[in-house]
Amino acid sequence: MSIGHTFRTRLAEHAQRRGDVPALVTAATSVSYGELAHRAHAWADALHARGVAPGAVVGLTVRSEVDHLVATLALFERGVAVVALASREPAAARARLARRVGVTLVVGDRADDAVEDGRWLDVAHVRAAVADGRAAAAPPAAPAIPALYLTGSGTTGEPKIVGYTQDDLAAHADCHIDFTDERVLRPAHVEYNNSKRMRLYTLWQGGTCILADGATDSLVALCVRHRATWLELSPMHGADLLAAVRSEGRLPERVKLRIGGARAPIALRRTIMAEATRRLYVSYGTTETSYVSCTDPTMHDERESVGLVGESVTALVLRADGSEAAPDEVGEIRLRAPGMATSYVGDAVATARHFREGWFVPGDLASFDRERRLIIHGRADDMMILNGINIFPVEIERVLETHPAVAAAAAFPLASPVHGQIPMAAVELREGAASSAAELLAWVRRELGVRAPRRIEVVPAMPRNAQGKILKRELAQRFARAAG
Amino acid sequence: MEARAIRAALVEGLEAGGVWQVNRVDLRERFLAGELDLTFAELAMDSLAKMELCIAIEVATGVSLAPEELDRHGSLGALVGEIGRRHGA
Repeated sequence: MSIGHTFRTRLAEHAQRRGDVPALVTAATSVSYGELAHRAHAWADALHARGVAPGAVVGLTVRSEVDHLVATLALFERGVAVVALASREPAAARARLARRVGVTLVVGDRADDAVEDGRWLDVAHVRAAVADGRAAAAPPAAPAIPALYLTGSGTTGEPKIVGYTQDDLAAHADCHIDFTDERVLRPAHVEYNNSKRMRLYTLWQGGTCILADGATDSLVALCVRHRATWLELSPMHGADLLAAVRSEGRLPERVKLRIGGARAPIALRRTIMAEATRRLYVSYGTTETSYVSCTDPTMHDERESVGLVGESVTALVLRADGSEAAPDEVGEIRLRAPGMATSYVGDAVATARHFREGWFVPGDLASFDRERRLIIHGRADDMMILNGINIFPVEIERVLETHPAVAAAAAFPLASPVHGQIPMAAVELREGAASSAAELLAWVRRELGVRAPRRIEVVPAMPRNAQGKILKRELAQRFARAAG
Repeated sequence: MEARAIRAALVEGLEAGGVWQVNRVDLRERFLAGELDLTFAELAMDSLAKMELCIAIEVATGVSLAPEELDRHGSLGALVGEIGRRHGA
């Protein structure tokens, strides 16, 4: 049981039992658990000396991944709540997030990391105070509630925010894949919320976090150099991985690859298994519940399952009338997990919509197959209804992406006063491949019949946001203008 | 919108609905050229085929028609004229 534990006591335990095990590894440095526990205290004392008091809410804009994590642990120890104000975000977005969680102080690398002329503390001064070693020991502080703010998805408008206590984070870590004796490489920067969570879980468990920390080496080179046993990627990084293995060879045999955070198309899974590693795992989780499910390498087929639900997680797939869906029947998923969020910060409307009767309702459509493997069919909001026929964009996208010429597909509705929503699709072809809209229409029609898109357009490049997500709304607007 | 483009949209919708007449190349070409008309009675379309035709028309021309309206127009030729009028409107 982890209840009542804090990262401070947990790190002290690790320092005692496995003090020489590396906690944080970069190209330049390796920080053992013994050193990390010591460094977090030293930072806590230095922050205390600089007037950072319990109850504060600190926005962190620290570009060094090691220092970002050390600062987070030190602030936990000081009873301070932490939110990452990512350096990659525009100043205005950082300021909005800071305002929403009530940031009282920014700890940053540069003066312009401060938001709206607010208070800021130069992280260089903290480092200097730590090096100096003369800061007075900080008195113990009760853990802040919450201790960590994370931003979740917000496909429209502002991202949703959840707050977690250290107990919550510990509960997530206890439900997660066991990284205790693993060396986990996650190339995404710790300023990204998911990356930060995963690193904290790994530290809770006593595993080793490998941080790219700005290194530009390929994923294969990083795995080899740091003797990684897990590599964690989003599907977007799949192309980077394939480029690396094509020039440098497959991933070392010991590396298990986990892909999560977005749909992992079967074509990508197959290519990765053929060219990079057979040890491919695909997982599903949410910011609000953390880990939900994961496949093993034998589970990859056209259904694109995300595997079996974790033992301590409860997942139900419900029909519109609230009854439980039969195997292979699509419904809306609801989730319950230890340490899950129960509300969004400052957003009663979204809270009422997504947190119901003790469940988190992410708005995803899902089904279980007969082996209880979970399959995600996209967002409930995205479902189209054509003359009473339910059509899921992802089923169209899956079929189109099985066509050898298609690199990516996006399906979306054209609103119709008579038929409801008419499915449409845009496709991006593979480099050097040729196909026509008519050929693709016939292809998808054979597979899906009335659920097929009625128009397909081949586009030179999909409109995408900075995270690589296809902007379907923009495609839909283009198509609506083109119609008629 | 040109009549031939409207006729092409109709052919696409009839194909999607599995209406057999459009699979005969001679009939299809003559219809596209405006030399042949077919009545809805001759086409004997079921409700799914009518739905497909209406969807194809709406996607290609932006003109919304309900499947039950089709018979009122009598023939494909009359329908082409109606779509042309509504499209211009």
